[in-house]
Amino acid sequence: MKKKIAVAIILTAWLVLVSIFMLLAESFDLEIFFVLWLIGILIIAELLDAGSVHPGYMKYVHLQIAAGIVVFGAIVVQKVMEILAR
Amino acid sequence: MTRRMPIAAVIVIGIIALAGLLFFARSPVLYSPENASAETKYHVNTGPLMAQPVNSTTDIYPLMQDLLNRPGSITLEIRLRDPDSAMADLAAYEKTFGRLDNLVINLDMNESEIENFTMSSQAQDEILRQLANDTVDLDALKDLQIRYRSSQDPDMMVAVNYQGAALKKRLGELYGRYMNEHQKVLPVSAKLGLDTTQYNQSTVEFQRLISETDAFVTAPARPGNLTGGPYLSLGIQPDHVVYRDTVRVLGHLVSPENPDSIAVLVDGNPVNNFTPDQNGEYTGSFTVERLPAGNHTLVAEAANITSSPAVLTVNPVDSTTTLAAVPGPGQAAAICSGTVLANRPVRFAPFMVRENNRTLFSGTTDDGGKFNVSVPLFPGTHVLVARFDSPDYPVNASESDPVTVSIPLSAVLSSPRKTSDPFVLVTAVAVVLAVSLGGSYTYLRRKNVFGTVVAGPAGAPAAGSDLTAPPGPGRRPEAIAPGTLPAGETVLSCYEQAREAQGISEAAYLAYRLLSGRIAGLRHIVRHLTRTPREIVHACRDAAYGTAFTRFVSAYEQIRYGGGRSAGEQAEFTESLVQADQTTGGGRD
Repeated sequence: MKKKIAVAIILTAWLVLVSIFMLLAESFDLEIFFVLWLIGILIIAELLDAGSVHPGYMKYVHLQIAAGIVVFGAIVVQKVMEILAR
Repeated sequence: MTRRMPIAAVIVIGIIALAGLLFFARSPVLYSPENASAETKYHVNTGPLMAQPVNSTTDIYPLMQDLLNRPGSITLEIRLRDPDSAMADLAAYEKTFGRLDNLVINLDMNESEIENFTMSSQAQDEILRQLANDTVDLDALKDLQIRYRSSQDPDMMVAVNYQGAALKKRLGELYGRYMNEHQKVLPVSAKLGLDTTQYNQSTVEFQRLISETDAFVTAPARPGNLTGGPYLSLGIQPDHVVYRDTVRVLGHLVSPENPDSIAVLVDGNPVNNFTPDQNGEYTGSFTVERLPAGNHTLVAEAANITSSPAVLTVNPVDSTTTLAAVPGPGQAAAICSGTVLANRPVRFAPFMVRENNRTLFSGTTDDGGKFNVSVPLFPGTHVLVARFDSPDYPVNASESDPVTVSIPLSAVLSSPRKTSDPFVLVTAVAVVLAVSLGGSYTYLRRKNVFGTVVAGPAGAPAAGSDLTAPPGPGRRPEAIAPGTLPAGETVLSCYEQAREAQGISEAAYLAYRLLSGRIAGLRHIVRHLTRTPREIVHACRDAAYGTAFTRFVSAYEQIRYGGGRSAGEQAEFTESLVQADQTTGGGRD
């Protein structure tokens, strides 16, 4: 199996697992879902990037992670404002 | 002219002020006894009240007549089992004699007949309240008597009969006390010319109520098992209840120890303590509140005696939760108010304010089943619901209709609670955003997404190091970056020196490392030593030096791996080395 397909399957399975737990808890939180996706893709990127072989699609994975970090910062900003607003 | 201007201005301002006052002068907002529309504890204005002249005819006598008229209807309502009307009339009765009592104090009429009238009215109020409660007990006893008679329970029948006898005795005492006060009131009323027709009717109704108990209560026959002991009975009425119903408890205790207190337990948890009278009878009640729906076992305990269990069935009732939410003034919060109602207000009950199934606030209702809380919210539009859901109450869960509330962004900046300085907020936001953007950039840079060379100084040998020195056992050869050749040396000279010192194979490898490092720098190839020579060739095939480097790699592989040691192969390697060195910028290192 190609790494690219394995990565897609693993990431999808991880997100499905997160969704199932959220639905079981009857508390679907998009922010938590996003953060868990970011954690998942970070782990996958580090595992993929460990060797000397660098597939071309890794560039796009890294760009997604960078965008995710910015969005994560926005979420933190929102939480900071919520805390300050209390 | 100039000197008269200020005077004219003052006159004009004065006229404007007086004209403005006219609007308020027509209906001034003054708190006077005449204008007071409602009497609350915040509008007590005793000064003018004290100064008011009191006229006996217009102020006191109507109050006294009102007091005389009420007992008749109250006793009738009690006899006809209309407790709500009776309690409402009793409240009005209490308020009336309270007003009369105030007048008596204000007029300094102590030791007067009117004061005696007032005291008798107060005593009759207490008697009538006791009568209302005893009537409820009487009805409960009737129900119990029917139940135990049909269930052939002689012990409980005896307990009920004893209770009935005690109740009859208490009602008789109440009647006696009432008549005593009645006799005190009548002469005063006659002297003042008050109408006592309805007042006298109250004694008639009271007497009828007493006679009704005669038909019910029969003399109890004390059975054998009650004469010895120990023995403790327990009866409850009703045995099917809903939230906030009152359960009346009664029973009989025979014990040589004569305990002072009898505890009634529901499922093992005490709900109330009762004190038996001299005959061993006890009675009381408790309210069903924090008791889950279903069947519960009640027992009475006194000393070491436990009664037979009684089963209480608590039926669940539906509830309704309401919610109203408005933005909090000057704060990033919504003021949420609402109620939790079942058959009665669900008091001290847990409730939640939620958004998208996420609980934002948890609290408890007040004694009226209401709540009014401030829920912190982030600026934006929020759809809130209030929810009551507690298995501890015999009340089904309910949720309010969704309520939309919008919190303006300015509420955060103007929020006075945690930070009143917008600079702190803006700085915090800027710092977090800068950190996230910086982190994102650093991540991309580390991953070389921008194509920058990262295998530079870390992989290069230190300046002045001997490039021709062997790598040593167990040590990987170092990558060589451009600009690391010692001064005055060229790739060819390094190769020549290494060939003499280490042999042709290591010298060829050194030459390859030097050239591939240079090409890695030119082509931004990361960790070039981890790549095969052919991968480097592939990476630079479209460059001007691609052909020369390809030729060099071919000769290098022949020397390094093909075992090429002939003079022709070495000459070919040297020639291709010089060509590749020159085309890749040799001499500029």
